[in-house]
Parts: sequence; structure tokens; C-alpha cells
Amino acid sequence: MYKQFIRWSLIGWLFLFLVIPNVQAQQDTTIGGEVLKEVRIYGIPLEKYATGSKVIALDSALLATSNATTLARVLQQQSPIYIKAYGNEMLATASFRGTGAGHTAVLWNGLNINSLTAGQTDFSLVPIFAADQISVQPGSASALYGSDAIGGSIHLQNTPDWSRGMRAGVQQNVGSFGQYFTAGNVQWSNGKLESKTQVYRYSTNNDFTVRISPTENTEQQNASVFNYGFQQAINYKIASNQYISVQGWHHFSDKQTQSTRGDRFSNDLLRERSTRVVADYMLNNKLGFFNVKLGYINDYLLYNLNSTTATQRGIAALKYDKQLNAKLSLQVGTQWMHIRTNVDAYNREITEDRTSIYGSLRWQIIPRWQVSLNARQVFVTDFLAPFAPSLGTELTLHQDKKQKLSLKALASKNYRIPTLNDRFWDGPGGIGNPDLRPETGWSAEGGLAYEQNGEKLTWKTEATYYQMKITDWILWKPIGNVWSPVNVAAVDGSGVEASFQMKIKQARGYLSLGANYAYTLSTIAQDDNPDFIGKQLLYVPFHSSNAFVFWQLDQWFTQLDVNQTGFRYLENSNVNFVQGFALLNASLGKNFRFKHHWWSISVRVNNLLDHDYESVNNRAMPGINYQLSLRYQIRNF
Amino acid sequence: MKKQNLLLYVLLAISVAFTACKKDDVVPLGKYQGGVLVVNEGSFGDGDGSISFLSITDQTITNAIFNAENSQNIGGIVQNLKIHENKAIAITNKADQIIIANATDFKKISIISQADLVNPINFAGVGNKGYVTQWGATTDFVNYPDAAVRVVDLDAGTITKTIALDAQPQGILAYNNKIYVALQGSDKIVVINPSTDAIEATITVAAGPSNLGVDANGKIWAMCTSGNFVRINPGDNTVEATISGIKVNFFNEKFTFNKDKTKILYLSPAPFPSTDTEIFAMDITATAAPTTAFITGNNFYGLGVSPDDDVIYVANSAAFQGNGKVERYKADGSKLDEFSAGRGTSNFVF
Repeated sequence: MYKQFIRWSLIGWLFLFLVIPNVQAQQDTTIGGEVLKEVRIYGIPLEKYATGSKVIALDSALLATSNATTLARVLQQQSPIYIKAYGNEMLATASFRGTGAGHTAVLWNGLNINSLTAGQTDFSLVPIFAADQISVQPGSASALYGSDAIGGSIHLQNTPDWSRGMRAGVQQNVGSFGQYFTAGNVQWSNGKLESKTQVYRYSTNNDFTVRISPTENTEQQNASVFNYGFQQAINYKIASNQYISVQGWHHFSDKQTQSTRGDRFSNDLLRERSTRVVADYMLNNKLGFFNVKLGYINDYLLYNLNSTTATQRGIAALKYDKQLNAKLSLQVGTQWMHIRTNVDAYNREITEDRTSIYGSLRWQIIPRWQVSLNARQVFVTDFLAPFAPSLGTELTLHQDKKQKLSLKALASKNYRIPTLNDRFWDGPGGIGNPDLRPETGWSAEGGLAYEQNGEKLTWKTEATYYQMKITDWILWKPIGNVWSPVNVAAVDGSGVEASFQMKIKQARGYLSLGANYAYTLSTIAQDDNPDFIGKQLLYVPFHSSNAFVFWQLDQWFTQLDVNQTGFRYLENSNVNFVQGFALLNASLGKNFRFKHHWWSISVRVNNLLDHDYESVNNRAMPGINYQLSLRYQIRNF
Repeated sequence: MKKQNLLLYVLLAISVAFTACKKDDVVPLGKYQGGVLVVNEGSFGDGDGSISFLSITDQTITNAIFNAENSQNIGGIVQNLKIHENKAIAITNKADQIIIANATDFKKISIISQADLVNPINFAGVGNKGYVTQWGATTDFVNYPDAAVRVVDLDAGTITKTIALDAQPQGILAYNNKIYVALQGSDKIVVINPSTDAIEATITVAAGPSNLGVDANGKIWAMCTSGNFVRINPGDNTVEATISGIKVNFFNEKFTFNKDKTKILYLSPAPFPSTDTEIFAMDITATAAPTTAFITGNNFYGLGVSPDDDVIYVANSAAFQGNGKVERYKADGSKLDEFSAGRGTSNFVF
């Protein structure tokens, strides 16, 4: 019955979309659909030395409608990354370009926040609300970002905003399975000093219906989630060419961990806490651009209330960037990180220092042709890490007032330092291997990018082909009577990524469209089990794609997105697989304004087709579900 | 929806056909009889345990038979599968379930799952009574306050009694109308009388008795995590022999007998960091441990011998990275053939 309802709603949605004529009206700043900002790391755009690569800024309007969710969901909806989710709002790791969970570098304001113990980020612990800008950079970039940047990198940015006045807002979302999201923010600036405070809280019972057998359903058990966090930013402009920025972020999460389908009495719990602080000093004068960065990250994880995994790291970094002449610019920098652990399963405290030095050179040979050369060397206590260079180039094949066609190419050598668990684990059932070598990746890619910029219509499309080889791939295996990690495998990756983005300005609003497609081959080239050679790596879908359309008309906004993930083998002999799935989500909302007061109300429907799907084998995911959002902001009162 | 309904009708039709068969005088061989059942325990987190059926007559393997027959996953980790009085009983200790199915067609009869059934391991049956060893929850992997044997009414699919025990009850054996339980976390084997469910004797053996078996002479053997084999005379519950120097795994020690039960075959991992696994053969009259391995290979994880032809079945777990394999060897240790099974191939039922 309600499937028909959904079908008609969809048709209605499309109808609405086609028939409403464009009538002249002004476009207001709204909360329901926000304006794209330039992606920068404090004055130096991410792209500056990333020649040959691409940086995809996630659509801010889409982020605004999804701001009560986490990066896990948004990456699945908007990026070519395959997100492997162990249940709804549960551990979610990334497979970028067919690589493993530890092969995506996640940087928050320039600091890699991947867990030092597990070597990955759980994207279900990264609320969209906590970042002002999110961008995704496919491809290897260890020379720029260090360890883990083999499959790609994700950049979370909080940016200073010195526009004068006071702004405050509250938000309340209510959704299926007892979901509540509450958030508030206060921002103040006098043009010189800015303070921004944000708080958020999310909880869900997560007791959605799970199919056990054709005749039996049950409620998902042991999957409730409670998260909260706060952020404080203080930015102070010392002079027009120098400022200080301090960002603090505390995130707390208490979750039951969803077990496999049909497991009714699981009771595992995970409590996690991360405190992250980064302070930057920026100076831009005749001598160049200077950046001093200090950071501190404290990660704490308590498993089943009795096993502690905690790490602290302090980071100090210096960066210097100089435009040498009209054609050449140079960046050099160094970063020092000190690590201390308190991990029950290590049976001792580990302290480690990682110092890296790096340099980048960008050469605009002719206006149409530029080359970037980057290199990084990291030194780790008692550990030999590889040298990571990269060379990228971009050639404009055609350019006129309205359009640009360019050719890109990039080659690099990359690395991943084995995690602390890999090296120092000494707990139940496993033993770390201090003799592990770092994983090394070789990567080459080439692509074509085309963009057209009209007055009303802008669009761009890009297609990339890449090849990579990762050697010394680390796997935990039963060795004798214990599990231990070994540098056993090599993986040959290749694939195609295509993306499309379009924005149409209309008299009464705008329309934004986007699509991504990825074809991914990740072939096991070396393993101690000959049966696996030539097989697709487990949990790498051959095909994945997503598309969205966002439309703002006067005060109304609506969005439809679809994401598709092909089947994934769940083991390396390529016999058993998890079914592919396609999810359709939609939202509709309206903004209101009265003097200094802004309101926004929206409703969101996830998994509109009520598809019974799994991201990870045997971990149930919810069917159709709803969320209602109310937002209020007061500005410059 | 329609597809599922159709499937239901087909299943219904099949089951009607089977019920009809039962009325005949000649009982035909069930779908999953006349072959070897292969247990694939599944990988730790995936709950993807499965049962495979290796048909000896066809020389073919059918994987995931429980899942196919019931459109439902058996779950994980499948610690043990036992056939008892035409019922197949599977014990899983991640989903923590006792799964009872019809042994001939693997149609589910009942699934026992309750909050206090935690870490069940192994099964033995006497009549309609099932005995399931259970470690119970632990916070420190040392103390197991809820260790017990759970008594199951197999027809009703309910737990009727709990016999509290100490220290990781692992292996369990029904023999001569007695239930023998190996307490792996201690040096004890307890004997339970199934008519009263009372513990009527406690046998002190070498430390860490893990799994149990009966030889040609009717003697009970226990393989112990302390590196010993112990031979027990069930007539007077005394230890007749202790053979030391056995290379062990330190938990869930796996062994079996040859066809005429005059030889013990047991599985030994080579010590870390070697990746080899070894199978040793030892006479039941031996006084010392064998020193040279009988069969050597990678990722051996389970062992069985066909009571029909003495063929040795070795479970290869493929280190849980891919599907496991059934490797078959002749009694002299030379390899016959192999079959691709499910994830984490671990055990055999003949």
C-alpha cells in the first residue's frame, strides 16, 4: 500500500519540480540551503600543491539538510567512497579507491585524527554539525598529508568568520527509532575577535525492525547510541596580515554495539571520548606566509566497561610558504608529534615520536601548464619509514571565457605506518609484531576535467583513471596458536572515477545537481594463500555511484538523493558476497524570516524504497525512516 | 513479496512430500545423510558460520545447507555440530544459540536463545535430554562465574536445568549412560548421571582437559591444554595413563580416532611465529608422545576420520581470509583431494 504512496509522492515531487515557473525574486541567505565557500586551510587553499589531483567540496546545502547525521552517511551519499557500516550509526570505516579502512587520511583543521591504535576513523563519530566545510580528495597524497593517505583524504575544516555581530541558533530533530538530535550555537565577532560555541547531542534507541527469516521479524537489540559534544573556537586578528585561531572539540559517545542479525542477547558496549585542540598562528608578509601550529588529541575508548584504550598526542608544526617569483612558489614545513599510550592490551606504556619534514614546489611553466613536486620524509622512533614523493601536473588544453578543459596527471609513492595495535598488542588472543614494515603504495593517475561557467549555469565534470600498487599490506592472521599481523599481501588497484556537478541559478532560487561513479578493481597480487591471487579484495564493490539534486525555490527547498553500492565479496576467495543495494532519500523544507529571526522546518525520509539491505554481512540496517527538523537562528539583533 | 510467498509454497510442498515419505515402510536416506557434514564456524565478527554437506556418492559439496533450507543464517561462531536421534544440534557462541534442526533435511525445529545462555560450547545427548557445556560470561577471561552444563529438552526446545560447574566446561561426552564433562580451566573431569543430573564423580587429571573421546577398548581420552593426553578407565573413573609432551593449542584441543579407534590423531599448531600446523598420530597403547608429524600444512583447523573408509578429513580455515577447505588424506598421510567449503572450516560430523 505505502509503496504506491511512495511512488505517487515521487511522481508528485518530479511534477512540482517541472511545472513551477521561474518568477523573479531575490535570493535570501537562508539556513536551509547555504552558499558554497572556498575550501582553504587557513589562507592556503588545499589545491595549491595538489596539482593533478582533485578536491571535491561537499555541497553545503546538502550538508545543511543532513547536519544531524554523521560523516558516515554523507560520504555514502555524496562521495565515491565506499562506507562499510557495521549497523545503523555503528562503526563505519572507509574504503577509498578499493583500499582498506586505514588507507584514508582524515584531517581536522590540518591534523590527522585517525586513531593511532586502530589506524582509522570511525565516521559514525564525526557529526556533520562539527565541521564548517568538508572536502574529499581522492587518490594518494602521503607527500602532502603523511601516513594513511593512500586511498584518499578527507578534510574537515572550521573556518574563522569575522563578520561583525552576534548570531545564535538552536535546532531540534526528532526521528524514527527514538532519534533525537539537539544542537545550539552562539557566534560573536567584533571584526577583530571572534568566538564560536557549538553544542550538540544525539541519541537513538535504534530498535528498528530486523528480518530474521521469511516468517520472523524482531526488533534490533543492543544498538542504542548516545553522543554529545561541544566545540569552541576563538579567532583573533592581530593585524590585517596575521591572526591566531584556536579550535577545541570534545566528542563523547556511548554506544551499544549492534551484533549480527538474529543475535538477541548481545551486550557489548563501547564508550569513546575524543578531545582535540588545535591552535594556529598565521602571518603573511613580504617574506612569505608563516604558520605555527600546535595540536593536542586525546582519544579514549572503553570496551565493555573494562578494557581501556587511550592515547594522547601532542603536535607542533611549522610551515613556510613563499611565492618565489611569478612562476614558482615553495612550501617547506616540519611536524613533530609525540605519542603516549595507556592501552590495557599493550601491558606497558608506549611513547613514540614522529617527526616529518616536507617540501613542495609549484611551477607555473607557462600559463597553461603547471607542475607540483612534493616530498615528505617521516622519522618514527625505532622504525624506518619510507620517503614519499609526488609529482603532479595540469595542462589546460582549451580555455575561453566560458569553458576550460584540462588534463591532469599525478604519480606518487605513499605509506602507512603500522598502527600501534599492529605493533604493540599483547592482549587476549593476539600479539603485535614490532618488526612490521610500513605499507607502501605506488600510485599513478590521469584525468580530464571540463568546466563551463555561464551566468546562470555552471557545471563541471571530471573523469580519472588510476592505478596503484600497495605492497607489504598488513593482515592479522592466526599464526600458530595466536593471531598476529604480518606484511603478507600486495594489492593491485585500478579504477575509474567520474564526477559531475552542476548549478543552475534561477530567478527564484537555484538548482544544484551532482553525481559520482566509481569502478574499482582491487586485485590481490600477493598472498601466502595461492587461492586468493587474482581475486577481488574483500569488501570492495566493483561499482558504486550516487547522485543528488537540490532545489531551492523562494523559501522552499527540496532534495532527492540516491546512492548505489554494488555487491561486495565478504571474503578473499570470492564466493560469498553481500548483496548490492540502492538507497533513495528525500527531504523537503521551508525557511521563514522575520526581521532578525530565521526559522527552518524540514522533513527527511531515508531509505524511501524501504530496502532491506546490509552494508556489512549480517548487520541489519533500517528500512524506511523519518526525521523532522526544526531550526531557529537569530542574527545581529 | 510474491517471490517469498512462492518460495514458501515450494518449501511447503517439499516438506509435504517428505512427510508423505515417512509413512512408507522403507525409510529413504534423508537429503543430508550418507555423507559428511562439514562445520564452518565463520569469522569472528561476521556471524557467517555455515554447515556444508559433502556427498560421498556424488563427490560434491553443498555449502550453507542450513541457510538454504531455512532462509536464515545459522549465525556464528559454530562451535560444534552433533547429530543425536535424528536431530542436528548446532551450538554457536557469538550469537549464543542452541539450534536444533531435523538431521535429514536440516529444517529448523527450534532455536534456544536466552539472556543467560552465554558462550555455549559443546553438546552431548541422552534420549530427549541434551547437555550443553557453557562457559558463561567473563569480564577478565580468567573467572567464569556462570560456568555450567545446561540441560535441554530437545523436543520442546527449552532449557530445563542448569548444573553449575567451575572453570570453562569445554568437551562433553555421553558414554555408557553417563555424561563426562571436561573442565578446561581446571584439572577435573566431572561425571554426571543423566537420570538424576547429579554429579556423581570427579576425576582429577592433568591440567586443562579440553576434549574427550572413546577408543577401541572403551577407554576415555582427554586432550589437555597442559600438553598431556590422559586415558581414563570409565569403569572405576581412574586415570590409567598420562602421556606428556603433546604439542597443543592451549584451548579447544582437537583430536579424533582412526576407523577402528586404535590410533589417536591430533592437531598441533607449530609454536608462534611458525605458520605450520601439524597432525600427529599416536597409538592408544603408546607410552610417549610422537615426535614427528604425520601430516603438515598451513591453517589446519579441524580433523576427522571417516568411520567407513579410514579417510582423514582435515579442515583448512584459510586463516579466515577466504572460504575454508576440506582436504582429504589417505590413512597413510598421502593427499587425496580437496573441496571448497565455507568460512572458517573447523569440524566434521560423520
